[in-house]
Amino acid sequence: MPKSQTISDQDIHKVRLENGSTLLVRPFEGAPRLALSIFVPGGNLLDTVPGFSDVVDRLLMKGTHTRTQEQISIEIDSLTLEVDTDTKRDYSLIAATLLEEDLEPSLALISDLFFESTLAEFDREREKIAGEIHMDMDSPRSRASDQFVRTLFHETPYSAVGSLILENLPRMGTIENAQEHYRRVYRPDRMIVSVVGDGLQPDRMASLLERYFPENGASGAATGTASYTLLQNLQIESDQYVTFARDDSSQAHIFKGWLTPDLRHDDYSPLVVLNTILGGAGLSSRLFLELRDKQGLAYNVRSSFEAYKHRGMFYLYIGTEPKNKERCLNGFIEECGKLMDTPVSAQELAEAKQNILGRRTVFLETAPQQASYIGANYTLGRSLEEIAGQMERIQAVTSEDVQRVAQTYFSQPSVISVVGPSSIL
Amino acid sequence: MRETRQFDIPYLREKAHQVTFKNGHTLVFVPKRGDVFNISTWVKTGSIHEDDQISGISHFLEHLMFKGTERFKPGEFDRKMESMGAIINAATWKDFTFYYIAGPKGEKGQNFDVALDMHADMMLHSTLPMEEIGPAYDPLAGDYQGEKRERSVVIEEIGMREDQPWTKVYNSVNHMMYPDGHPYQRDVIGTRQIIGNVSRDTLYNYYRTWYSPACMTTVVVGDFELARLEEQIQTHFDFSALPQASGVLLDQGPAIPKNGKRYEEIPGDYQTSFFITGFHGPRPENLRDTIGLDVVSYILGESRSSRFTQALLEKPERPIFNSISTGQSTFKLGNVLFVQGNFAHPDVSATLNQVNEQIENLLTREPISEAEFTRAVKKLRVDFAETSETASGISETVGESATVVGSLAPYTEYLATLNSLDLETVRGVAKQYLQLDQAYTSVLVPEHA
Repeated sequence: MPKSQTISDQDIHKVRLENGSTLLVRPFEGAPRLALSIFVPGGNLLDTVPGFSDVVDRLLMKGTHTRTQEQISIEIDSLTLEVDTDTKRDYSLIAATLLEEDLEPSLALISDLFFESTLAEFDREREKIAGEIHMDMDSPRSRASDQFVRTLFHETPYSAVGSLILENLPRMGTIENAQEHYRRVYRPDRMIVSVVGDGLQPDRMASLLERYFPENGASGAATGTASYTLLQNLQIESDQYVTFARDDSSQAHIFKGWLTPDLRHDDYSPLVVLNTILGGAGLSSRLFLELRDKQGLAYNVRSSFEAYKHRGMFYLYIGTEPKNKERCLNGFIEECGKLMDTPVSAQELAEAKQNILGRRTVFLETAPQQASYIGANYTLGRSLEEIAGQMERIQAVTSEDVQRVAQTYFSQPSVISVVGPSSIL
Repeated sequence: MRETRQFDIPYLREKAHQVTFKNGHTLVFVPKRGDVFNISTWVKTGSIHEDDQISGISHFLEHLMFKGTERFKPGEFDRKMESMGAIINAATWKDFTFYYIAGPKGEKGQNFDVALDMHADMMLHSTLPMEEIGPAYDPLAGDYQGEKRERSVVIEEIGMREDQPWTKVYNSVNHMMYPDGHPYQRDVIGTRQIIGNVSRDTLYNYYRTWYSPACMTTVVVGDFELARLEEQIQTHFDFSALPQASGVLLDQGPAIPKNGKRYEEIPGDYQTSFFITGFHGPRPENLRDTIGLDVVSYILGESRSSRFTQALLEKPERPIFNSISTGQSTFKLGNVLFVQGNFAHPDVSATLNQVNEQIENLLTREPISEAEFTRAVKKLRVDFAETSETASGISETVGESATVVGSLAPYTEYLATLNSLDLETVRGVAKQYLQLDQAYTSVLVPEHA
């Protein structure tokens, strides 16, 4: 029988490598490609200027001491390899997918990016990032999302969204600052490597990684303790309303949301269920039925819950004809209010849990999805047992739990972000 | 009787099956191990069969198909599927409308059985209830206070698309690329006026005209038995009691306007400029040229080492472009190769000239090299294989082939055709389709610039 997509801690092999890093291997029969992701904890948490990691991480693809940017690009395109870097709130990431036949040349290349990047393009890459952010901000919805997150996580490293990065780009210092950050973050002992593929042998993966990522004697603090304190103490003192005028906009783009705790907090699972019931489940969630199906106020309406290492956010989004703005905001209050006032029925609760379980199966269908899920969760501080036990914790959520978290978070001050014609702001 | 043939899917151990039933309905079954199934039904209609009076109704109908049948009340399908953890949705484009369910098959496949039954019921027996459509109204006549139902949802979707810069510039270039009145010229979603006013009768007649067995391909991917599946399909997709459909598939040949406009600038409240350039490509059944053009597109703008990425994004001392890429879209009446990019520079025409220069280079001074060709072929082979990783990837590739081209050849013959290409052929394909004097370009530009 092929191994199921349901992840249990039994089928993830954890190996501590000589270089001090952690290797997580999950053999996955029948997977065409092998997925290999290298996580280094930190991400925006380590930024003294928010967005600094976003710049440095991109520079890993832009030249090493022995390969130019163009040579790296040609080499990647000559292999079956896809590889890119990414910057998240709590970690940086090199994610690769490849066919087994290219494993060694791919590791040789990725090792070079990891240890030997010159970051010589520091100035030019900042200009390119600025251009890309301007492009993104030309979408009213992106603008609304940007100012929502920035306001919610104000003055913490989690607020590193496009508009803030844009302001910070000139304040990021010199290439020496970037190189110092790179050496501090990209150390082999800090790596968490997650590998998923057909016929993987943990021992062989371990010795390959030890060969290509040898201990290099680098050390030094990369902790992000200050960020941790800032985020833990972060409060929204009173309701915030932020706007941006786009007079050519056909819709009002509205985000409303609250701060929530980190992903290991006891409220995490109840919030996942709450989100599914309110607006995370696609076509049958409450927001969808009420504001779209019944009232015809929107095509796109939903809620989202995202939790990170130190805090999280729960938010609602709707794109609506500008004159419906107030009606939608009232609709948000009403739907959240119902969940605070009345416990959800046993049936609605059971269906929501089933939805979460089932969607997870679909979203873990491929090796890259699994490598990303396992590695990210482990990097965020969850043990393998915790990762495997997530569905049990969802099953244990009661309707009282759902009501309690609705009351706890929906009663706190919120951030509302609106982008639309100035007449309605 | 039914006709059956088998074919291979990269990386999958078992053969796939294509079964065409007596009534014309086609089933494609792809056995794939794992916990996930995917069911989709592809209908051979979209804006291709609309005119100026009914522009957008294929898509409006797609929304209304979720509004109940005689057996199931509106919303029951959504709820039942989502409570088993399935993802459901649908999409409408020029040549097709498709509906899918992707979910965990459940113990002994019981989720799948329920899903297939409800999916088929929805495809054949939707009732399009008036109270779900909502009363007709004039969406342009100020503040409408009446009941807002699915009409308003689609009108909001129109607004959403207007706020997406790429969609907006796409619609502009797409409009120039076809003669007036051509079905491809209109935006698939239609207009506010039509959606606000179209009658239920018009929608229902359209449904009965086009949702016929001969126009439908159902694709099932998952760990099931062919014999049992064939029986299930015949039981659930029983068209015998339905009125005979009368739709005749349109195929008016490639339509290229002779002396129309080739360039448009649309000012707006933007900081950057968004442009799309389109070139008419081969018909999709011309596999050699279609796949050859995929190779050209890969070399021009679909990879890290591509001409555009290197020359316009990575190498300039002062970067002007924020993004630039290429891609081929498959359309029944002729594919289109698109170049799309974004830049921040006040001199729009000088900037666009940099793009043209790269294309010119590829055709003349610096033709595609052997190394570029070899890399592209290898990467396209891997990309093609990647579609086998997910049930949805397989079902979309197979479903689109069957629906747009009317055969699975674009899928089953892909690798053989790709492997048979040589450098000269690909250079010839580039010369044939990338003629700069035959290009169409639209640009959204900052109005205050």
